[in-house]
Amino acid sequence: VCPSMPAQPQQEPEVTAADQADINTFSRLNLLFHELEDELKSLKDEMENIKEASNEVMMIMDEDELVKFGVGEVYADVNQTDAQTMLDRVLEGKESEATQVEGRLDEVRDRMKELKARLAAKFGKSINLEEDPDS
Amino acid sequence: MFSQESVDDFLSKNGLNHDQALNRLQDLYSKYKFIETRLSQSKANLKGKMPEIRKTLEAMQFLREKSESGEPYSTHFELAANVLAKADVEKIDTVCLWLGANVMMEFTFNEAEELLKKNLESAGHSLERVQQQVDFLRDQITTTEVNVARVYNHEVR
Repeated sequence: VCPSMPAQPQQEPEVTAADQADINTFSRLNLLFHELEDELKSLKDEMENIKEASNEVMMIMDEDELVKFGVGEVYADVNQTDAQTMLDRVLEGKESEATQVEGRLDEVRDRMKELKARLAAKFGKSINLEEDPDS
Repeated sequence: MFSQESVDDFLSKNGLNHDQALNRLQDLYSKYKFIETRLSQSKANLKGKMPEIRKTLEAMQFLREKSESGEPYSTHFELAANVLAKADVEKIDTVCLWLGANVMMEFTFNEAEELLKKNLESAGHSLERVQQQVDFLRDQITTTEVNVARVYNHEVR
């Protein structure tokens, strides 16, 4: 979103340095918001994949069959218990990362709401703080 | 950036009429946008590097655990594109790290861990620095956009 000021022939409040700072902060926060949303989405996708993999391992008929677990760029043969443990460990890590990202998203959302209120109060229709539907 | 002044002051101080001011601002704007694309590429590169390093660290820790447990195990590694070959691994004491520029070096587990952690840390610092530049640039771009609108409105008024 780029805070824009549409042409208005009537009197409009002058943009002070403090206002400009607020507008700049809002712009930065908006970018951060989208980045965090993307990060959260990709974490959620990864967690889905791990859960599916975990299900696959549980469904293996032969209990002694080894699981080819991806480590770095190779696959190592591990037994099913170890595979499950490793999967669980990775899943836990992702879950805690996701919680952190969600926390940051909430912070950003709150700050944006505050700034929006302040700027809208001063500039009203002179400023556009909404998302562009096609951007 | 003239957020401390009014549009009138800005125009008279620089001896510009509205069109000239707008042109100058537009010019600034396109330069900033250009730098922005370069910076975002940098940032994307660094953001991609860090998970890579983490994956390598994990792989190395896996190797270390396995070798400490003493039991041999087998792996499948990529011999060529889409071709995997089986390798039986017994005890290992060292790992080889690819340092780039066709150089690979052998390390003990501890040395390798140290190196990888250091790389991860420095990638993190570089990312921070690039992020600061991105933020600063973002501010310049936003301010320029607002300035364009203010000059335009001033003219319309």
